[in-house]
Amino acid sequence: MDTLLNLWSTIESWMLAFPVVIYLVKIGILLGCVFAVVAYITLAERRLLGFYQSRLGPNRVGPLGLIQPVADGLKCFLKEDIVPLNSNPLLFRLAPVFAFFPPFAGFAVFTFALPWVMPNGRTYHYSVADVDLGVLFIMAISSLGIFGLILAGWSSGSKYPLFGSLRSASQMLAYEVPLTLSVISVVMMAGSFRLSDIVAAQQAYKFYFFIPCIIGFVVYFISSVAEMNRTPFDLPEGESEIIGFHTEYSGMRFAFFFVAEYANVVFISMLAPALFLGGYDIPFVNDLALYGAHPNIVSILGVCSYAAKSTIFALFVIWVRATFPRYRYDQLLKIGWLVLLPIALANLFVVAGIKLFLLK
Amino acid sequence: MTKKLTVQGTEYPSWVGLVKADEIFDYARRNSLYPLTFGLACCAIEMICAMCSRYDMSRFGSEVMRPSPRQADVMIIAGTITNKMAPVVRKLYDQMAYPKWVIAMGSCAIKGGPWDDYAVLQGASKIVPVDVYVSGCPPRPEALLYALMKLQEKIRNPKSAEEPSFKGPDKSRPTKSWMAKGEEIPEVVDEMLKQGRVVNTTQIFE
Amino acid sequence: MEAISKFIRMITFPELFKGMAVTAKYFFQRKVTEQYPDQKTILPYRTKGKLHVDIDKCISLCRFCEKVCPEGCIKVFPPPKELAKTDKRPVEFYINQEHCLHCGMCVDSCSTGAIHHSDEYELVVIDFKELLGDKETLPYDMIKKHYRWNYLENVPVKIKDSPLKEEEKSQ
Repeated sequence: MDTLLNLWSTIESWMLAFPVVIYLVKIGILLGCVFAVVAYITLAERRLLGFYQSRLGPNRVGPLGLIQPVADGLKCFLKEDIVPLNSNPLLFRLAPVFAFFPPFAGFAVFTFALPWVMPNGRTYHYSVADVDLGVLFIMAISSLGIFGLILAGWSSGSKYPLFGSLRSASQMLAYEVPLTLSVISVVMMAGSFRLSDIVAAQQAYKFYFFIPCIIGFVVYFISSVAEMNRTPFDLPEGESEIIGFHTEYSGMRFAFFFVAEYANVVFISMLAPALFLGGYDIPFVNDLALYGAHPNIVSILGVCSYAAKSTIFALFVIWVRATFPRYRYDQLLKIGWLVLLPIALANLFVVAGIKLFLLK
Repeated sequence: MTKKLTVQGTEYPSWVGLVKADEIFDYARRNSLYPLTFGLACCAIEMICAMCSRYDMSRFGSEVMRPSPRQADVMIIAGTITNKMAPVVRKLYDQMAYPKWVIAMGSCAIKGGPWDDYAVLQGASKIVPVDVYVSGCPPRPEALLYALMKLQEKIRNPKSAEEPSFKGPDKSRPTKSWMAKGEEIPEVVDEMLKQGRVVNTTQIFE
Repeated sequence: MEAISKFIRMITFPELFKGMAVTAKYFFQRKVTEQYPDQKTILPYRTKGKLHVDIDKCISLCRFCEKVCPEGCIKVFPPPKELAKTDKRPVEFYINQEHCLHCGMCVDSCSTGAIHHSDEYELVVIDFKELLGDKETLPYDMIKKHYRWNYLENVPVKIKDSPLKEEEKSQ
């Protein structure tokens, strides 16, 4: 044990000498976890959709179909890469990257648990960069994703992808505003843009923010499903009937869009617990009191609780996909501008009133 | 398991195995065959049925119907190809990215089926290279699933897939054979061949 | 009062939750999938599968099946006249499964019951020339034989109690 600790202290001294190493290690671990989760959420969705439709999903490739995402990914990477003659080759090749990176960049500001305490007293935070404008950063970065879709549609040199990307642009515009307003209500309650502060505020108030901001939570859920381009609002893709922005993409570049969509699902369903459901707070337990006694156990349990909450949220999203048919385009915009936006604004006033009068 | 692997003079422990990269690639390819979403005629209903709950093609990992030919791997020609539709089918095939496969489903897609007339293309193999043929009018959904398995087998090992899936009477079961009785019949065939009544097997239906 | 209930319905979306309850019900129900290669469907009685021919029973001079086939996918070559007095079995018999619609007209018209449907349906080939069956490759399998409604005088009610097995035992 002593030798291990000595080894760790030497490693630690090296890492303190080069702080970049800590960040690189954290980024590596985070990206690895996110990629694994994204790969397996595709399988989870296919199997669960099967269950909802009274059939069994993919279950023949490996035990329980567990090798299915690997096979899918490898196949996509081995397929021919077609660049159409009419396209703008540079933008056509760049567009998947633009769609790909925002959800992964957004994970940087998350805090996944209370800090881990080493035996020598040094603490390690479960976050890459817990910046004080985290929520603002997330909002900014998640609206960057639309550039990828517009570039993909426009640079394909074909009219149907262009229509798909225009649809997605107006949809994103319509749903970004209520999404941001519903998040602002949470920020008002917490009094900070930092994600760890928002969770700490929920721990301090001893209730989760979905109780005062219940309307905001509903608005957040609906508009985040629209932001993810998922089924009740999947007009940008419209796989089966109306052709979407990635029609001309094949092989690896299509896989990029595919991964980006599911990374968005993971991203949104990890953001929702932090904002509304208490994040890494363990329900029905006074975390802060326990943390003084057993810090590491509490931080591990916190990660588990965070994972459980976001899993439940993701499962709910899949359930919604299994149930509802697609909205018509005018209905979609009507819901966005005429229903969700006024409700989100009203919610802002309600939350402000609660914060002013009920919580002193 | 005690056998040791020896490659170029180097011995490896027993838990080391060698796999060709091609085998891994073929494994990935044959287990995520995305079909192209289109149906030409009545066989498409049977194809939809194969995708639905009871027969559930998704167990093979190929329920992801891709509307865009760029992302599809296998083209299921389900139904009659009319002469007007033939260029479109060929264009869809050309737009698909390599590697790509074709399943011809139903009599019409194999050889025109009942429509031996001016409007119908006599077989999908005249415009696209077909990998697997499914006979029937229409075939059962299980037959399409079997075709998919046959295609997977063809991707894995083209030679082993070429064995016919049905091989005449099962020898283990009690069957009657006309060969057991009549020995004189081959001579008759020779006679008839001289008269020109019996022609070569392949010429009969051409 | 009505206005209040309407307002409550408007803000709580009961229809959406009703829909989600339906899918949740199916989530927990037993799945209807038959896992094809492992568990095969019990085919319905009177399945029209691949045609099987009992060459010994065929009298070949009538050529009913060839005439009645809407596709022209059956070709029968009867023996010459002097041989037909003693042996009426066909010299050559071809069925082309490429075109076959499995309509069953040949089965209905056959006077001796030599041609009949079976329960083989996996007619999947790589080379479609395999679908042409001649006298030697056309299978004849009593176990796979299925009766049709006007086939012969003995119409079994269930497959289990069919006279087929007795026929086999007697052989």
